[in-house]
Amino acid sequence: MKKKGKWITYTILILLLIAFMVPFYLLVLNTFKTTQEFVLDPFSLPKFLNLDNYKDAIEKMNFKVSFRNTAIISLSTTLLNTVVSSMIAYVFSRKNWKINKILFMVLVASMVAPFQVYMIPLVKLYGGTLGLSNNLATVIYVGIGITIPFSVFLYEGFLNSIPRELDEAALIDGCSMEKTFFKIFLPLMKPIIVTVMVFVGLGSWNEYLMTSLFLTKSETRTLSIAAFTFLTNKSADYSPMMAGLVLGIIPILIFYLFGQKHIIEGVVQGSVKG
Amino acid sequence: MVKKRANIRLFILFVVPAMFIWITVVLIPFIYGLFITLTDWNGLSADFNFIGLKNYLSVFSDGSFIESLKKTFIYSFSSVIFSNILGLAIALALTGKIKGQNLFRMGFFTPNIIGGIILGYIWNFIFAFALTSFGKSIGWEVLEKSFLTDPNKAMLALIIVTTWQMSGYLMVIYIAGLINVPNDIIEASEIDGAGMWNKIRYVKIPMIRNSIAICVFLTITRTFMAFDINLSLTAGGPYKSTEMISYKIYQTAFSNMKFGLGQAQAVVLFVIVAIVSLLQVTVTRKGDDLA
Repeated sequence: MKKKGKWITYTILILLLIAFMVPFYLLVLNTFKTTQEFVLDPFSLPKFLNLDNYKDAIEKMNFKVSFRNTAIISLSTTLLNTVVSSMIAYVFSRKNWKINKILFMVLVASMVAPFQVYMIPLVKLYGGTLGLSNNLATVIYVGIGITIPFSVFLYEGFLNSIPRELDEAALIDGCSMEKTFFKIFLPLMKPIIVTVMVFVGLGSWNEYLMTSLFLTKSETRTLSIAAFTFLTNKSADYSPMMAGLVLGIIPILIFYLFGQKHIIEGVVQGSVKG
Repeated sequence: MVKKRANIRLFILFVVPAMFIWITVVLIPFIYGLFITLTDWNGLSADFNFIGLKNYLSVFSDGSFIESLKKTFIYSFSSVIFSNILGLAIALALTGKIKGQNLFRMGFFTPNIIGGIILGYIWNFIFAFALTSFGKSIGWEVLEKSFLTDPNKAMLALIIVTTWQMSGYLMVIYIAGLINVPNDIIEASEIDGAGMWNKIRYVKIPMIRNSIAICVFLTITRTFMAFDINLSLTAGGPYKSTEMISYKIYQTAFSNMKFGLGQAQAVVLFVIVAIVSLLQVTVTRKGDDLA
């Protein structure tokens, strides 16, 4: 009886997983066919591995440039966010000044606000008044600002769990607070840094709304924006579009295959504590 | 004196950079946003007039905003129910000493690593071509016409895609909760003769109350802020039948060039999300006391 139950569970899980994967399967399958073949029968197998759609999409999406832009934005946002957030969290965790308590509370409270509530003023201030549109640095800066509260929250929680005897010993040895952070705490924080970086990096890679408000020129487009503009150009040539979507997925899928443990762990920690 | 100097240096080097970025990106725009809601600014011209609270009045007297609020509620409610049931069911199945747990988990989670814009377009093709073709081949009339061109079914399409994506995300949180249920409690219930169903109903679910609260609130806030999928799957259509609140704000500001009104709508969204989050804090705190 028990064995039978297990088999039923397996069968249901496998069928469900297949159902979950069907959209991806159909997407990839049809990138090797012409649009005519696709419209006629989306389920038929391609006659041969026709890569024309990919060539077409790489050209029209300006793939190299948009890939490079996305990589620059995500890497810079993630790295700089890690630096400033871990440093401020360290002071919050180690110095119980009144101002720290107030600042930490305000930061955490601001996590509640949805992006939409800053969206319009951000566009007005940075895009309009300061004229910083179509500049990757603007998007990086805004990206860091938006993710600071979340990262500080996670770092602070982690740092609080590190015993205070450790920094006292370092201080007695004559280390300054700054030096203690870089020499002792940063290495200890490795697990939480990986978690936060994965979370922030993934979000930044997939970002569309904020990025699209600032980056409108084709040479500053990210992959999400390039996919969006490619797919809304009202052409009826669907197969190259699907190839464009696959191209948008491949980089992140490779990342997922190698770092899936950290990604999933990051999600759990991020949502449970956040 | 020396110590005070060291503290000031520490503050300037470690606290000020992050605070400066946060103040310029979050705090100032937030306050400035409240100011914008009191004006009739169109986003382009240099001059604007103060109109007091008129924008907020317009938000609530505007039938189309109330309509999009209603749609958001329907979308959010259905997504919360379906994705939590599915996510919890998968998590329960996977924590039942199943081989290949990791592989299943990775597979079900996959939709969450891909951006909403791309996911929306993938499903656009599925609904417009694959499902219709499938419907024709098996002669199932419901599927023959694309969900996305039918005002009555486009919302259903959005709920399906959201459930498909979110359930894998929630599954991960539920698995983490279920793993922490102490084994001896489950064994004790087995000795008492509890079957699979009773174990789930009376032991496991009460033990993961906190995970359930987290997942439910997470789905609520996520769905209220949903923009990407709304844009790429339906673009609010057909005939504005799926124009939800976040999409509506975007439209008001950037298509109709009513920045003051759009910002007032955004403030309303902010208040809703803030209330939900406060509720979450109270509910999970209460759960902690009980546990």
